Amino acid sequence: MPECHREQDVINAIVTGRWPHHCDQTLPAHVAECSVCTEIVDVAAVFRVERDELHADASLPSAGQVWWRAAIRAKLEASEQVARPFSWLFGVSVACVVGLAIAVVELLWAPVQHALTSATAVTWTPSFGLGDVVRLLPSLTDLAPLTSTGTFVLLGAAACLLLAPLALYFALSDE
Amino acid sequence: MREATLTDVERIVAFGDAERTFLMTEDAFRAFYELTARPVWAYLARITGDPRLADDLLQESYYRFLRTQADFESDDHRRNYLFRIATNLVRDHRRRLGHAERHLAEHAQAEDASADAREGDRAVRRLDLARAMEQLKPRERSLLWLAYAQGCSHEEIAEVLGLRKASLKALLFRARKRLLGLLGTTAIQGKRR
Repeated sequence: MPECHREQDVINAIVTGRWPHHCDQTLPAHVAECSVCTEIVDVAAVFRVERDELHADASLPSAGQVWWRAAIRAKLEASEQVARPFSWLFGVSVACVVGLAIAVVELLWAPVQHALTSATAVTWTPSFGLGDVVRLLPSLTDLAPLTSTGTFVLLGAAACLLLAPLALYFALSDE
Repeated sequence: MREATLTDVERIVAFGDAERTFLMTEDAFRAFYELTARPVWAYLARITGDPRLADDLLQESYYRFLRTQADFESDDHRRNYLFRIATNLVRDHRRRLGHAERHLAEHAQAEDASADAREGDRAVRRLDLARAMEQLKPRERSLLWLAYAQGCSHEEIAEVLGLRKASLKALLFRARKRLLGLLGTTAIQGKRR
């Protein structure tokens, strides 16, 4: 691969617009005898013209506009970054509440179903009176089999139902 | 979840915050932009072959540059870093485009240039170069532009393109030969006049 130690001098002269009359005058003489530098002059001259025309054609936004857009975008990205953990929190809260609701329904379902079955055993007639209501009350005691674990689950669910709106408030508020 | 948007007040605050977010002051940025915007835009326009795309990539390049936390040893280092960002953005863009889309985009660009060609000799010369550049690999375009339009040294080109300096001379030599072959002697003679 042929090389020439004056390649960069030739390129610099062309790129800076000093070629051929305002550069070191040994350079044109060298180029006339050096095939590598002749080739470089051919390519660099083409690019020089193209570069100047592109520079003239370019209609660029002002530095202030670019700075402004960058500032806005940085602020927006920062806001999104802050909002991201809250999105996670929101999702986790919803999942917890749904999970607990299902657990509570599962726990209560058997006693409630039993109570309802007992209630439907009573014939509901227009003459249904206070005495019939009193007769129904014992069946409600079927809800009693709820264990102490069940009570804790119920308390947990209640706490979640109370805390979830608070979590949502902090997640969705602007501050 | 609500979409993050900025109010007018927040926009004003954002402008004030920018100097704390970016490692550069606005005045320093203005000076840097005035020095580098045209060369970077010309580089983007020439290696993508699409001035509109160059507009978008220019804004993105400066944004990424402003967001960087890098320390720069000199102005040249800072400028080379910006060119490196621009180069990577073009690479990413090409990667996103499929081969077929790339072909269409390049074909469309050649048609635009054909229309320009009617404007005269200047446009014909530009068309010759545009067509020749289209046929080069993206890396060859970058190499040639940085070397012969920007006048970057081999060290600087290696830094911008992420290449080893040892392999650069051979790559540049081959790219130059290819370009000259594609341009042919007519176009070169035209440029010499």
